[in-house]
Amino acid sequence: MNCEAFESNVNDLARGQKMDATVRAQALAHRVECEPCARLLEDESALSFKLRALAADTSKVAVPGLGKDLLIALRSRQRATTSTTEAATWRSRRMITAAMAVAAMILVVVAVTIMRSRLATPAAKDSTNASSPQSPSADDKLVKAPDVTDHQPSLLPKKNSVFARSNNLRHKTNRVVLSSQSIVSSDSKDVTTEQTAMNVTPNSAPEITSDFMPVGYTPVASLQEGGQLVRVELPRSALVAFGLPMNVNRYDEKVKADVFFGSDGMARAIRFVQ
Amino acid sequence: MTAKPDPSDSELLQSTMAGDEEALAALYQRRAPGIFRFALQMCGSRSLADDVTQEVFMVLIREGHMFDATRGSVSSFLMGVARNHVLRRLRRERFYVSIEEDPQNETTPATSRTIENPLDDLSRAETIESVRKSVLALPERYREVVALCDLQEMSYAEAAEILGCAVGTVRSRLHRARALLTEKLRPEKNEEAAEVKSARCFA
Repeated sequence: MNCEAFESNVNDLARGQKMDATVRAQALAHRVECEPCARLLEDESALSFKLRALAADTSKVAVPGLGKDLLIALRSRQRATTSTTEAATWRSRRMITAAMAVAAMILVVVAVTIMRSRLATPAAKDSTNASSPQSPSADDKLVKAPDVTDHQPSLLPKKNSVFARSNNLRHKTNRVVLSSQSIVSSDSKDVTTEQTAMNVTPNSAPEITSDFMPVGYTPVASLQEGGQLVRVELPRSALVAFGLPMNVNRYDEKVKADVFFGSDGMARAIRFVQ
Repeated sequence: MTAKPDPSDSELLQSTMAGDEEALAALYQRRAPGIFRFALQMCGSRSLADDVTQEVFMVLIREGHMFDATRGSVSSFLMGVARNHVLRRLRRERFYVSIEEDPQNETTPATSRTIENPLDDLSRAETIESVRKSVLALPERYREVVALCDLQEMSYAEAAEILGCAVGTVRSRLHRARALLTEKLRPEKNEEAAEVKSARCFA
């Protein structure tokens, strides 16, 4: 062992620390050979002795006893912990109660909704059955009456009609047809007419109407906004303008028509009334 | 009939956290002397060491639930808290100078002096006092390793756990601290030698 290695181990040697037996033997052997290292070890040992004396002297100093402050702090902490635990318990109980109340409310709402839907379904079936008791086979030709109060046009299902196709479903669901009768006009097979009890003039005799025909270009979306139905009288020659046959012998008579005005005040569709 | 083994520090701490005053007393009785002596060796003031000991156990009561047994022992935890408090107090009070020494504040215990061999006792007391002063004059980083390893007789590993550093760091700091102490305790001889040398020169 050289002096550098001895110096790195001299502390452990002087302090009596556990160390490798080989290293210890080498260090002690080096101490015999090297006088400065032997002196270093003596100094370190003397320092260790003095430090032990100091430690022994310090250990005679009386240690303060357990103060009342510590006991008071422990008790107050215990009280605080208990109160905190109780508060947490109450908080959790409140949360559970609130959650149960919310769950009960959701269940009630769901139950009411289901009951309403069950009650509504038989009523709808009854009304549907009542609306077409006479001619269930003539459903394809059924023409529904206009809903005057809604100011919605009666855009009837017709093979060639854009309006009829686009609004078919809507009218099927919104209308309740009280009584209807399909009549095919003798003048034209394309025009389907209807005889309805629910009419613009309910007290007058039943009317026969043609399908609604578009006036110029009418976007389908604009019909969804609603509008107003106005009964007018037109010269009979107006039938020709819409491609309908006209009796020449009655050219000087007027013909009744329902004009559907959109929400923007523009005429959207027209139908002729007999 | 076998005697019931003493509860470990962790068990005592758990009981203390549950509000057991006897467990606190037992833990205090077991660990307070070491903490007190460490504080006394670090700061040299008995009143400050008292305060630090009380504060350490106050911290234990307040924040004992934060103790993690996987990170070290209760003893190391307490000594670490004591070290932090001592360093804080030393930094806070280094700007103040005591006007009058309080007899109670003396670090040297009066009971250590006997009257059987007054000369030896006086010599021994002087030596101890000089060592104490030398230790107190060390920088904090060296003083704490001397206090832990040499005065508290802890292993390098325990000291490293308390100081939060590597074992090698503790070894090197202790080596340096002992070298500084040797130098501090040597000048008296050197001064005497220098005086003799100068006397020879003048002769």
